Amino acid sequence: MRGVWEAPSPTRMPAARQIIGRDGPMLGAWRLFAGLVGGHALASGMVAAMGSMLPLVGMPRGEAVSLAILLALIAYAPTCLAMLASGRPWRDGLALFATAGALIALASMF
Amino acid sequence: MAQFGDGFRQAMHWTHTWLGVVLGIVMFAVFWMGTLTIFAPEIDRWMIPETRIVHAKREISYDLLLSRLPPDAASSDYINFVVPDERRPTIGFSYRGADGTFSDHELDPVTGRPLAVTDSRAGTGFIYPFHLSLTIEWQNLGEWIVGLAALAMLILLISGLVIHRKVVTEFFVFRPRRKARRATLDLHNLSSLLGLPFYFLMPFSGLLIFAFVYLPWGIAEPFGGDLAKAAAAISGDYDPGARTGRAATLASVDAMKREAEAMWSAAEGVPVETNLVRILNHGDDSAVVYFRNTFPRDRVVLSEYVAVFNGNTGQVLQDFAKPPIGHASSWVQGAHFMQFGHWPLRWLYFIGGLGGCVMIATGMLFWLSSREGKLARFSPGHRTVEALTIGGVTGIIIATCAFLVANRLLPPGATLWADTRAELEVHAFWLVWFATFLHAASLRAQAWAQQCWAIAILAATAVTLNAVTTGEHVTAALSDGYLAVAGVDTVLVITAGAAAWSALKLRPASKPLPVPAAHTVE
Amino acid sequence: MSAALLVGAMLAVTLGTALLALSQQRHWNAVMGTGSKPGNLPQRLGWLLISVSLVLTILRDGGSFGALSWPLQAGFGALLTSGALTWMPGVMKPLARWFGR
Repeated sequence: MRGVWEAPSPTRMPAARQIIGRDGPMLGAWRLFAGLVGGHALASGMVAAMGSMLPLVGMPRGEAVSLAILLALIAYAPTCLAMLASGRPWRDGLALFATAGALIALASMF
Repeated sequence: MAQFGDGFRQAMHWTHTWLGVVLGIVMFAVFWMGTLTIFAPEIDRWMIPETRIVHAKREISYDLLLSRLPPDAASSDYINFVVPDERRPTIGFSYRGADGTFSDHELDPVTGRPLAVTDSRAGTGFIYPFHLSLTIEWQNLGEWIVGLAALAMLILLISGLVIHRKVVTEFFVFRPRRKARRATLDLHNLSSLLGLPFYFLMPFSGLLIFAFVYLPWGIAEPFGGDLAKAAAAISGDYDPGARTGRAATLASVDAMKREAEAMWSAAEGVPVETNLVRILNHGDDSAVVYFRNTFPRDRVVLSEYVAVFNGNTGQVLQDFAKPPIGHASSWVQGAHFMQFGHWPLRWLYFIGGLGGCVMIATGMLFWLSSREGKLARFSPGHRTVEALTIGGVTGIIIATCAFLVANRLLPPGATLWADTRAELEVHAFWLVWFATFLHAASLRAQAWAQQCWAIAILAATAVTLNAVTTGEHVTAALSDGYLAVAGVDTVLVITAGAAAWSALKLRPASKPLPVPAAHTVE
Repeated sequence: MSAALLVGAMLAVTLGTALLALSQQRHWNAVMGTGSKPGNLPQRLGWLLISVSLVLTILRDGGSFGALSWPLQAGFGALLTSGALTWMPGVMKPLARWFGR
């Protein structure tokens, strides 16, 4: 009956270390923050940018926003997962915020 | 990925474990109340016996109803009628008074007169809002917490798939006779896999429904920062503007309703009916009448059509139909609301919802049982999770049953410290729920069996009280055509039986389970 | 007609998942004992029946409702199969005998 819990895994660690993972509290908190807040900024940026720019190529504005909401919500959970699993959380987290910022700036221009 | 653990799978394991432990109780509460919301109108009929009416299709004159408005509704900026159907046989009537507060009434579908109904929030007024916001209204905080739980659920589903190595070979496996820990994990995996598409759909569509709450800036930005404009473009919302102060008489709302339904039916090729009749700025020359087929019976998509008329001339101001992407989005949202008239599917949703509750509960139980017999078991963290799990799982079921029992026990017009009868029912829910956490914290694992007995006793009491106070026991309800009442009673009886059976099975083991050697490695 | 299609779809998906389970040696052994093998047929027939249930569901409900009801029906069928394997594997014996070697 070998399953996931037989593999060496963080559940063998004392509770306090499990909660913060092997990253230490700073990095763990950064992963969560970047995933949730950065992911939210990315989703907002996606909706704003697509909603502002797709009408330029003829899509009705309401439709553009509807499409963008669907895609942004599909992207949100995988973004959080990517941040939680990233091997370079500082770099990837900053890249995520930069992308969200670029989308927000782009949306504000149109 | 070396600094995070032994790779991607381990990161997913960490995520799955801790997200589940931290948000499991919220997810269970939302899933439990969501499962009950599937039958919210039926629960309304059970808790508000005066609305137990056998539905028959009737022509309702909204002109007549509007001619009998209460005085403070005559100059209301918002009057709403909900058209009755087989699940909600009364005419729903609500309006915003001059002081900004809402008044809600149930009108008799035959006479149009207000029914004197039991003061209860019941399914639609408590269980449903609890599902979407935990009834925490301040700053939409409850909706954000539930949204976080929905996002967490999506993350948990994906990470769970990653860490479950034997999706195919152990797809059908359940070994209840093995150790509790093994059996719990089997049940967790089984319940997760069997309902997987449903479990993805529910949190995703839930987030989509509240997109305007979760992503307001992104949605408003393309419309110059005006969220109302976005709602108009996406959902066909209509703003009549402020009242002008010039009195005017409303043209025939019944004629407008016929015209709206004729327009929609012509566009659709089959009859389409309105669910909502809404008058904005009543009594003013800026009045408009608004119709929407919010919850069609024969399709998944909701709110496909909105028609708005000038209240004084009866001219069409807006004929909104959902464009293709909006239509697709509304399908996803309709799949969550499931107000359509498809009974086999409604029961499948109910079973799927219960499966989700099992998935979440067994996930939390597995975390606890994998620490059985270990030192960690005595840590404050473990004890907290244990109490939260017991109170969060059996406790919320007890509280729900107590809500029903309080509904049948409180006399009409009961008040306590200026709280209304409906509020007292809700207090009973929260007080009992809180007590179950205290009970769980003090008795630890023994609390499971006792709380199961409490569910059994309360559920049986609720059925008995319904029979005693309304006379509508299952057979009487069936012969009177009140399927909703008979259905709620039957589910309560099954709940009582299942809880009693679980209580008998859960008698605490006399000695702690031994720790298998494989788990002490590392 | 509508009820017949629903019952047919449920039967097809339950039998289909039962055959898929039987195509796995572990469950085959639980039902038929060790010493024989299920072969390829149960798996192929299992997928065929599951596809049939999809067709019946779409015939009854159309695509819009079918997309919601079919996954739940399939899950329910698989639940029945798991329950049978857990508590009364004997009930699957007549089915397994058709493919016994």
